[in-house]
Amino acid sequence: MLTLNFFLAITWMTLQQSFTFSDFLVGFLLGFGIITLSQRAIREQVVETVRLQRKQDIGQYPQRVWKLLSFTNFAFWSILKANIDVARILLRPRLNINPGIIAIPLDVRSEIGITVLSNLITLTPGTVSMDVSADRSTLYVHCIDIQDPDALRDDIKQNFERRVLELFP
Amino acid sequence: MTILETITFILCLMGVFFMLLSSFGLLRLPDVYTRGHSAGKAGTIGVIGVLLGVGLYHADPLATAKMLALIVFFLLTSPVAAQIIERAAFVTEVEMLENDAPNDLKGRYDEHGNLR
Repeated sequence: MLTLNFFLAITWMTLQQSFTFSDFLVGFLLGFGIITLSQRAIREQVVETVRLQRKQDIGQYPQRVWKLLSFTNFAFWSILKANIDVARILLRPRLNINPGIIAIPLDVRSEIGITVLSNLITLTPGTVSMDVSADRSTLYVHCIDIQDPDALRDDIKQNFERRVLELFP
Repeated sequence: MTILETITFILCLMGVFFMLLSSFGLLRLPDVYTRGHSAGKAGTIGVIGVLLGVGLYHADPLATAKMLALIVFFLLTSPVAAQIIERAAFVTEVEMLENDAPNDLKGRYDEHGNLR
């Protein structure tokens, strides 16, 4: 946490583009406030990371960086594509949409994995994740236009969840 | 116009177009859930476009880095807000558009708003 606090102070100075002692002090105090507010989340994150590192099958660091890059690339293109899809729906002369909520059984178990998956689902327009069941086995997703619930469910599981699983099992 | 200005122009135009579309969707869509889609996310690509355009225009590494950081923060926070709004609407039983699409979440909350 102390390392993180120094890191935040240095980040602050870099963004201020001035490296005086008083800037360091301000950055350090702000960082202290941030860490105080989010220490529970940070601690859980550390526990999670250690748990992930103990797993043998997630691959070495270089491969994980590569996977993360290809995941970012995939996320960017799916956000762009989905935005255009929703734009098309909105610009149709007659609005005939069929919104509803579908349940998606989850294979992702880790907290970070579920967070990434549900954020990705929400970011791609047309779907908003609404809630996760208490036992983390089901994700409820609101979709703006459901033509075929099973096809949609498969699409999310095949495209999104498979990629998230590779990164955060 | 230099090439940089042209790219900035295209990016900002694209951003503003998507933002316009997102407010257009707010007016056009039928209920709070579908409007959440429009407000929460057609805006994402709009904000990304404008911020990327501004970041490129200044052609200063620090300014560009700040814009990229802003994009990352926006991508982290905006879906959380959209999700919480939709969930709150559902828990407080805001009406949904009547149709034949599945509603798998129906009746799954107890009286305290906890998911069973």
